[in-house]
Amino acid sequence: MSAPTFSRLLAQEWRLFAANRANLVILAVLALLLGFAVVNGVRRVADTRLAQREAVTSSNEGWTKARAAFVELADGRREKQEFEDPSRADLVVLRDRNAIAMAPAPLAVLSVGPSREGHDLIAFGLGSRHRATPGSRENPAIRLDGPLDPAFIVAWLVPLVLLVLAYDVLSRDREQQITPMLAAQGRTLRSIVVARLTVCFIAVFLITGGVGAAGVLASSEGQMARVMPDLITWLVALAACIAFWLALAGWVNAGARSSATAGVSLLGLWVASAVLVPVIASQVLSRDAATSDRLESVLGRRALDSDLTERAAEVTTTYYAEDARRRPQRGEFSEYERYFVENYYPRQVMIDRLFAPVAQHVEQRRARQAQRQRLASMASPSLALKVVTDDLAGYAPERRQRFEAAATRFQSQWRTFFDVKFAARIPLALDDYDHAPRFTYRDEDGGDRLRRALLPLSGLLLASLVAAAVAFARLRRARP
Amino acid sequence: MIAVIARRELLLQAREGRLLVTALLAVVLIGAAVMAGWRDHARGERERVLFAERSYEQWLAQPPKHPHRAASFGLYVAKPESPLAIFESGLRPHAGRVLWLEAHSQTAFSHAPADDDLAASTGLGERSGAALLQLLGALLALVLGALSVARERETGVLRQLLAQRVSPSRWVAGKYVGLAAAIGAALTPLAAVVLVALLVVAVPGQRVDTLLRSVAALAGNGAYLLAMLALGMTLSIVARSSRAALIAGLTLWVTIGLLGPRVAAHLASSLAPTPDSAAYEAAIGSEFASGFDDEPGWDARLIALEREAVTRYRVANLDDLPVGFSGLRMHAMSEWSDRVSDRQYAKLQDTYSRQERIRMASSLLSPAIAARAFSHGMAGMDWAHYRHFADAAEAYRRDFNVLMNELIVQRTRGQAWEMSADWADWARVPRFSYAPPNVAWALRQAWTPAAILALWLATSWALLAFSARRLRP
Repeated sequence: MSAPTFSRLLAQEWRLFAANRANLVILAVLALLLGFAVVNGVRRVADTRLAQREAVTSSNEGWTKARAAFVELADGRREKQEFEDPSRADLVVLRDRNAIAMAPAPLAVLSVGPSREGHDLIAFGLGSRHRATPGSRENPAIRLDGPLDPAFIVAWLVPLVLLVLAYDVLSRDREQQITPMLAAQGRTLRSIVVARLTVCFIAVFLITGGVGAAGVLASSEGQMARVMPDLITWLVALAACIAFWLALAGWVNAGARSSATAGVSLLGLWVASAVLVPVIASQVLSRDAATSDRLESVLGRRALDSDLTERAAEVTTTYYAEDARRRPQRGEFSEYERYFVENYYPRQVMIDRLFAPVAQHVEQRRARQAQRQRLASMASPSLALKVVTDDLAGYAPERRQRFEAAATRFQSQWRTFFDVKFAARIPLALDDYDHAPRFTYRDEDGGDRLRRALLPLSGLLLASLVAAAVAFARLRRARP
Repeated sequence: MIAVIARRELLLQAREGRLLVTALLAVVLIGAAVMAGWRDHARGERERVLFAERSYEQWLAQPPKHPHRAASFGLYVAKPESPLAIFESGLRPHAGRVLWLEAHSQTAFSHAPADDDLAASTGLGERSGAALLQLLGALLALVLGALSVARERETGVLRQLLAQRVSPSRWVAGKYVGLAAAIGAALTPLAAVVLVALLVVAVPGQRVDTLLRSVAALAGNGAYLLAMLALGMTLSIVARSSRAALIAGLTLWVTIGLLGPRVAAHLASSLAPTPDSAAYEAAIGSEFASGFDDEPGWDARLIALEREAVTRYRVANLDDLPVGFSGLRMHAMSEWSDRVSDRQYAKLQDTYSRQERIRMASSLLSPAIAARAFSHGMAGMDWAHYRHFADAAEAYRRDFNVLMNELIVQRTRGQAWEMSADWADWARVPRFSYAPPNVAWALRQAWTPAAILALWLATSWALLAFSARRLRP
């Protein structure tokens, strides 16, 4: 069939599609639902940015206040107090909590991701970051029910909407016994079905892609160029997913005698692809790519803590031996100082050093599991679209690990900067306040995200191409 | 007559391969989930016992140190799980099961699998046998129901039956019983296997409780599936074609099973927001420092404590006290901190209760929420059970904290802080023991979802009966 003829057929089918009120209602409900989820996503990202700004500002203000107190003390406008002395490195540095943040990824609007609390903020001081962390206060029942985010809607609900729109794309005509008439009008059944599916594709893609893209752009803070590569990748994945389900509808309809049979068959395929395969993938991931046992890590860290506490004198001696400048310059110290400077801090440094390989192993296992999940997602278009969306929304473990590594490096810088003055109890100078390390972080490139998304994305494209080819071939043989 | 129609329907469903294949698929999937649940449960229990044991050993093996530092090192305890967790993992993926008990405050459950295990949140996040049964069983019941009457109408069978003066209500009732029996027959072997597995896993003292909990869970899930079947058949009676009935059934399933719980969760967290960890800790810190309801904050309390100590022991200053003031201070600090923490914890629990009320109100529109909540409760995997454990652990934490603070009172003098306790002192802290609540307690906690499920079942039956009377060929 020539392009102009197909265009005419498409226009005709578009008119028929638009004339069906049920289709419009379904699309309106989808648009509303997705719009609601996207608006919530935009709000969530704005809240995250605000929380991050507040935490970082508060952390910076704390430092500025300490500096001001130091200046007042130096000018004689403030009296020195035992536990409020801005020239004592142990008090200032041990109390100071640095807040550092990882800004939301360009497509963060589209997914809540697997972990939701914390706003991607890390607050740390001189102590080990591998200590026990307080658990989440979120209601687990709410978390279990899952978020109503755009990722859920596009990955699981949109395929169902497509099935409702296209499950009887040809079987309806067969039931009404008008297929022989259609076939006699000089147009093949295949071209009619393709035109109908194309109309469905355009309608659903315009709504889902349009609403999703609007949300992403609304929260982009004017950085269009940064957002575009991720957005385009997501739109390609979305288009591939929509095409896959429509191709399946075409394939099933090529042979189905009744709409009910076609509907039930497509529903079965949806259950298999969107429920069964992800459940199997989850079980396989649990068995073959399990994350490290974190309880074992906890016990390991505690054992280390106990051991180093028992060998406190040895730990302190080693710490001083590593750098002679650390030895105290003045005589008497309070119990507080002695414990935190000579005992607690060297132990934290040692814990971090000894625990680093374990922590690295845990992170490697998580990255490996994520990679396996991407591979497994190739078997299910719904899962693949969810994984692509989550990755582009910035929830890949690799991105988090990069941030954690930057935090660790910064903590090391912070420790090194104050280390000698802290350990040797040398009073701080104004210069120390002014030249203390500041955290700067450059998030991963868009290329990193795209490379990670490549596997599920190629799975999606391959699945849609295969489904389209099979449906196309099957439709050629479709009988009226 | 109802029995005859039911038998015929059962026979028809058995002959038709589609139900058999679908049911077989569901049974295999749920069976695989149960097997994975068994593996997870066995590994989890092994880890729990080992973890609790080693954590206590680490407590006992602490080198001589200050008692407050020992209390800050603390202990870990892990919530035991009922054997039913094999079938219903409930809140486990997002709640974790481990509590760190330490000197300063009550901590939250930590190490939730979903925090760092992608397998726990892959797909729809439904991977326990019960969750799959509720999701796929409801779909099966709705689709079977939706196609049941409409097909008979389309093929003309209904017209013939009604022409033979068969009572529409009895015919519908018979069909309903037959379809319910078909679903039941498909699921019974799996239920029997699961029940046997549960009884094998349960320790002797647990078996009756496990059996009763299993029966209650079965009844809850059964009520949900029966309600879905009745709704599906009602749609089938009302709809003009099997196509329309199928679409309506699918829409209902999406709304009830997929959208309902998420919308309810969104509503609950929007209308009753939970503070995040940082805000929660900040609120405790702020009240600890500044006080609440005209009660003074910590600084004022400390000054009062100092005065009281000097007066009580009739000494000139704190350095002359015959007991350790730092111990008295730690006692007062812990007591005040616990009061502040209790207030915030009560507020948090109040927020959870409000969220639960919103979810239960939503379950009047989406029974999947009530079915899940009831199932979680019977498996001992709902928040009520988690809280029961957390309360017992908190009582234990406070006891050992008091014990450690008392050592400071007894073994220091005046304002001295440094002292050392040792193994003999650590051994004075007993091992944590916990008795999980029984099925009667669980049923009392879960009466709201149970009542909502019963209401849904009654309403769906009433709707089916009402529509059956108006059955037209």
